[in-house]
Amino acid sequence: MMKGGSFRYLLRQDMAVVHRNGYVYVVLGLAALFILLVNFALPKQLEVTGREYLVDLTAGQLIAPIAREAGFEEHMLASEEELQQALERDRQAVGVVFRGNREHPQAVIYRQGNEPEKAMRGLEAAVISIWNTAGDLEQPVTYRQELLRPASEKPPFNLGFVPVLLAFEVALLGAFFVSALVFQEKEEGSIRAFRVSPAGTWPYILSKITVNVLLSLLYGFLLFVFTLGLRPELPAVLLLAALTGFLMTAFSLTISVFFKSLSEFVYVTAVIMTVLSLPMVSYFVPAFSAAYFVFIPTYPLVFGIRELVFSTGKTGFYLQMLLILAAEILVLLALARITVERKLMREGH
Amino acid sequence: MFKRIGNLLAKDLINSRRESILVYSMAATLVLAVGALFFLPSLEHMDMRIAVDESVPAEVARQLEAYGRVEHYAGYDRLRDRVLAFDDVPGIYYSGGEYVVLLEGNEESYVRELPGVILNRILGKEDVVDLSTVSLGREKSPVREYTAMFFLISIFLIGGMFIGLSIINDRQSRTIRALAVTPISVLEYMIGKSILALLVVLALTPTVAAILLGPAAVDFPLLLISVAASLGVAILIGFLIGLVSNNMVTAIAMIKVVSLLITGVTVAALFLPERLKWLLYPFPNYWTFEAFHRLLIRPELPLAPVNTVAALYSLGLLFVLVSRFGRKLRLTVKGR
Repeated sequence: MMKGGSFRYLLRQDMAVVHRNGYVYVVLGLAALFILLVNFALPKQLEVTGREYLVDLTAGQLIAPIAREAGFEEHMLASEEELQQALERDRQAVGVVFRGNREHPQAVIYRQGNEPEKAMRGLEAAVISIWNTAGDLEQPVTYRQELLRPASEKPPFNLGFVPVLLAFEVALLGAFFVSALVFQEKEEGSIRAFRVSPAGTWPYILSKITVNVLLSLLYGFLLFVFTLGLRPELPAVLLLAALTGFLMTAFSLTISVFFKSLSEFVYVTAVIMTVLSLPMVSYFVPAFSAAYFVFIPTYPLVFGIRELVFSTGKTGFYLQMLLILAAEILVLLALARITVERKLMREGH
Repeated sequence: MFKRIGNLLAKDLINSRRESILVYSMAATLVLAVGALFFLPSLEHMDMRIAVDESVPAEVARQLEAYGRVEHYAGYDRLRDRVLAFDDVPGIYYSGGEYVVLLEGNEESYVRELPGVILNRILGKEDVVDLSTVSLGREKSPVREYTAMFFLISIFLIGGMFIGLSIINDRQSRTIRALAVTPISVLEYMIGKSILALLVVLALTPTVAAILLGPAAVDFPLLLISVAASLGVAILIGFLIGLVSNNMVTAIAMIKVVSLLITGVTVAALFLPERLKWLLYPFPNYWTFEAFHRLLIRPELPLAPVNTVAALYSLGLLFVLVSRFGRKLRLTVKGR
């Protein structure tokens, strides 16, 4: 049974430790660093997929206007030699040389040689489509498009990074800070004193979680306000940040008790954080998503925060996310209770 | 001098064995490298995915498989739910004698256009465009090499963390105060603190390269020369973490900042146009990146000049900073 007085006392203690060790300044420093990064260092536009270079050698330059309209202006090259040089420099790029005229349309695709065959077929279809449009080759259009919601603008790259920093960094802070607290208590011996006190395991766990949730909220608030501004989505995003902080603290408590020191645990955390960061690949290359990504908690989180902040009109996802997070929290809270009780609250550990 | 360095090394070895740090740091890196082996094939064959409703004739669905990975769905509602998921997967259904490309509206432009373009090719008249393909013969995907490069650079961070956390331990346990009254110089301390970490870096880099690229694809002598040329980077990282941080928590924040710097420089080096690369020259880890880039991806470019710059620049920085490190640690440059 949880004791309210013990919880309040422990919370005050943990807050004092957080203050004494400068955790708050660390959170403020990281938030400031990321705010500067988003506002001043990251570009507004960045291509993360492979590049295609085009050379228009057709009679009357039929392709160039269409290519410019499609946003290929910067990737238009004047000659085949320039294309060869570009492909030599940029080993992830492909090139297309358009030649001939309406009567004899020709195109040559230059590939590095390692591109997936299916992607090359898609490129072939796109090249033929460009010629069909440019040369008015009277190929029939065989389909129509149906948009489930109006087409939406892609957010600038730098601001698109904010959901990543909110989702992954809150998770990271939670995992590290709580483990630092636990190891410090082990080293200072205060955990031995706690074992003989009547406080119990729940107040111990919940006070750590509360401190970490407060730090997550501070970090989330600063990052959000100083990158995106004061917007109506702020409370919803902060609720997600708080729940993520809650989840990661419970997770970190569950496993950190198995290690002797933070120096050991830091390497284990690096592995966990790498796994948690995998959905970033899908975030920056949305056409790619491994099936197992959906089971990584940061996957719905980062996309959910993006949808909240740069809404495309998707509905019903927020409540679903809250329910999933709540279920994960309940499971991890139970696990944290078991491991803390067995590994930390008993003598000899 | 050698005895004093040896004593420091022995102490670090005992500490790392007691806390299993050596095992954890190496195991973590190797686990990640082996994990990457499972992840790499899906990155190397990043096919577009297309959700296809059962209303689409089987022959068309079969032909679509030549262009991407086809997922089959029974009914419009299920197709719509798939298209509405967080990732960018377009849907196709057939209704009233026409094909419909179903999109959410927030897809990347190529995801919006490509399904229709593919349908046109499958269902349209015979191609009138004389289309040919020229392969430049680079059949091996660079994804694996780029991943290996990221790993190799990260190992320098692991080595740096090893040094940094060890210095913080010395500061927190007040060992450093005891050392300050011994004849040990700051240079001896730096060497003593770095040897174990550098051995870890020298052991891990060829192992990880062999795991990710296969032993036959690794030029081990050249790799070890490049790693040796950049060892100063690991020492710089370590002393930066160890001296700026007062305790383990600030050390973690510093590790975070340094890893951001290392990843940021690596990503910037990959995406910045050539004319802006000079912006990265002041970062010592840029030269490490450039050395691995030439070794693994651009072997036709000369490697020795970059390795020379990497070695001279990182060691030069250490030389300049040695007295500053000494003041912070209260150790003298010449010893007492």
